[in-house]
Amino acid sequence: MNRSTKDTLRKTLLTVSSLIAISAVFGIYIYLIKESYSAFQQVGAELFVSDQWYPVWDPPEFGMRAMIINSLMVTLLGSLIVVPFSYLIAIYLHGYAKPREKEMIRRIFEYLAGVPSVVIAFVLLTFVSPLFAQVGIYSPQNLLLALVGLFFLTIPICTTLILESLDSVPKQVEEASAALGAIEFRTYTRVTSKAALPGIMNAIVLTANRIVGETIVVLLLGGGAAMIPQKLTDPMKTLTAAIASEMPETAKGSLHYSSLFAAGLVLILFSTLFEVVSIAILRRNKR
Amino acid sequence: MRDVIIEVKNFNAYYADKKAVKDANLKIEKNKITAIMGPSGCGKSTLLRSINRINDLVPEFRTEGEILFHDRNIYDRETDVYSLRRRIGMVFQRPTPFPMSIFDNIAYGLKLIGVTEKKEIKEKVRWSLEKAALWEEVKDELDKSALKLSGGQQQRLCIARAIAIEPEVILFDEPTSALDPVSTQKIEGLIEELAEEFTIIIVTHNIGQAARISDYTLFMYQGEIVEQNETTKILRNPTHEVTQQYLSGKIG
Amino acid sequence: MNENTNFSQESTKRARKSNPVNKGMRSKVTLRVITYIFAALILSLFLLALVPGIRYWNLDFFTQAPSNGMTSGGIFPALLGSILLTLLSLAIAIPLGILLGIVLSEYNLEYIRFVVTILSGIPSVVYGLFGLGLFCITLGMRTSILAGALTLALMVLPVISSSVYETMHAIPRELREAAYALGARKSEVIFEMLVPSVKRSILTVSFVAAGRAIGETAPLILTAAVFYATNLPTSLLSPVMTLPTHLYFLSASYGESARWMAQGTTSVLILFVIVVYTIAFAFRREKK
Repeated sequence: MNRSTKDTLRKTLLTVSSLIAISAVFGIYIYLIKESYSAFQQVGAELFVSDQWYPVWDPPEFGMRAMIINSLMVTLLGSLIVVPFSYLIAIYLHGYAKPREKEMIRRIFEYLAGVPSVVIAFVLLTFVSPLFAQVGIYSPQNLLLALVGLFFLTIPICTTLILESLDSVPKQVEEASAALGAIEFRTYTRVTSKAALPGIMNAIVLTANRIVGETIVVLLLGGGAAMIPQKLTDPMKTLTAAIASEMPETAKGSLHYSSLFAAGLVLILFSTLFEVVSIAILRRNKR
Repeated sequence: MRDVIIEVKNFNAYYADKKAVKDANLKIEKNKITAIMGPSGCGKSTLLRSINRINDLVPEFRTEGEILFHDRNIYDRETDVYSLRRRIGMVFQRPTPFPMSIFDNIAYGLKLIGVTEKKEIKEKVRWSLEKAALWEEVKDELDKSALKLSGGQQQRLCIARAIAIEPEVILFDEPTSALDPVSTQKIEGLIEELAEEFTIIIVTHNIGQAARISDYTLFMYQGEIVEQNETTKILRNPTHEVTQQYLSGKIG
Repeated sequence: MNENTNFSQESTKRARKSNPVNKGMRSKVTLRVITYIFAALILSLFLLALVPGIRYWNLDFFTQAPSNGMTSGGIFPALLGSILLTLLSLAIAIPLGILLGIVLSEYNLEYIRFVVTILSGIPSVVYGLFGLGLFCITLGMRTSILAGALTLALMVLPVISSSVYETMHAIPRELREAAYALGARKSEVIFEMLVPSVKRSILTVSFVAAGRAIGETAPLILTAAVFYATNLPTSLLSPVMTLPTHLYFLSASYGESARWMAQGTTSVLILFVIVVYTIAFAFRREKK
């Protein structure tokens, strides 16, 4: 092959890969809109204002408001639990841990990041869930258990991202604070964290995005009731859980099928929103 | 008159709106060593990097005026920059070995000019390594990664890589600034030898280096060429005040 | 990293001069306790996933299909399905991910970066919906290995391309210029210089992507996996069992009688993860 043919071929390959990425994003959006169209047309606003999700009753009802709220509530609560602990661990690894210690603990987190969510769910289901019955809680799978699962699932990414942003703060900034006589904890929490704030915020947003899209953990541990839980030990179901558990048994092209695509559309809107916020945070920081 | 291979005429270079080279005019003589000197930020690297159009890669870089190579303007629209760069080679400030074996580093450039026959490649590799005074040190480990060589060896490998494709001109951009004194000495000797076959332009901020190896020197300050002459004359008898100050270490 | 420690030791000395030693020590100890508690919890999660299942490992467990309503037999079809799906999806995603990473790094196209970021954030179950709609139904692949592999490939594409982008972007400009100075074209610089120099990072991310792909559950429930396949797959258009979906179905719909098989599957999955990531980390370390 001569040089210019090779050149053309390679440029074509690069163009094709870009086109695939672009058409994937548009394709996913278009498919979700197309397939949920009949739900919007036939169920209409009820999709978003009703809590009644009885897709296989006669007549069926497709109100997913409770599941949307559950998805958001899980995201909020999950982030509220995981972020502070991740932050404290990241502070320890950044400022206090010896290099080898830091390396080892990081490694543990990196391995955890690779554990499939179904494994985390199964372990909690087998070893933690039975404990609820012993203390008299009627639903062995519930919001609390799902939050524990989400904690394990997201603590690696959250801690790693926060640690990276703390580590990227110039040493001089910390030295200046230390030179004023501040104890390290103050330096790290006030000065370093302030300099690393965009990175930390980005970590929070990406963690939240990870939670809102997580499926198997909330499906197996959440208990699966399509209503808004009143307390931590109530069962609940999110948008993702509904899609994964109901879709395999749904007739293609039915209203139920279409409603589940509508649930997917809501999810992708959330995730796009989170990613756009993340991009905005990072870009503003760059300037 | 001398045998001119490159002529720069009313040449200006900009990064976005910032003018880096102002109205440069100069002639480069064949098979001589021309040194470009001046304090950092004076535009000497920009001028050098305009000669093989490597600065085209810098976003927002643009030029005015002409640089003639064999009497043809290299900034003409029909110039093929790729073959231009093959005829005007370059060695950079820091050694830039590619992450391949020693042999492949040199073969890479040869393959670009269409040398495919194995025997010819082998001969050229040996020839260029000998020219670069590296052959004896590496002849038994040509398959070794180039990254494992010492800094000075890496730089000589880069010189070998540049000369393997037999350019007419070689541009050196402060080639010894990242090296130790012993390696520096070797490379200076090498450059002097290369001048027998190639035309050499070298950017340096090292006055001693310019004095030791160059035939001509041009001195730049704040984007302008303030003085150009035979090296011995400039060093002995600088006419411009800025040059005098630089040579005496007052600016730099 | 060394500099960092030197610095923190140094600052300890400084801080002690003007502050009560106790105050500084207390926060350090508290943070250390928190960190170690969670590290211990994570390690016990690994042990609980790995250890109880190991005792079910034997030749039959790895070579037989499940039988008697999941009370006996083994997980061979799921093992095979997972390996097939992972390999196939990587075979698609790695070349594509490298190309896309190149575009991200070498062509300054803001919208491609935006698109890849959006892709990286899309929930896996939504990828599953898309795969179901496009591959299984519209393109007529039905529930099949091919549909699942294509869906997984799309999912790990942003992972691979972002990592290729990062390492390629970090290559010093001088190296690119040195290749240009020899008269190389842009595509030659990219494919003959830059790609070989990020080889190791491509290997690393391939294993990370394999770890991701092998554990994915939700998209496979929608596109490729069935609860129980009577036959081994005969073509790319056959449905399969996989380890994570097998574990999911067992946990969701079977009780005590299948607990042993679920534990065995969990231990196999976690072992896969440990092996795959250890290899990935080994490649990364060698690079340093």
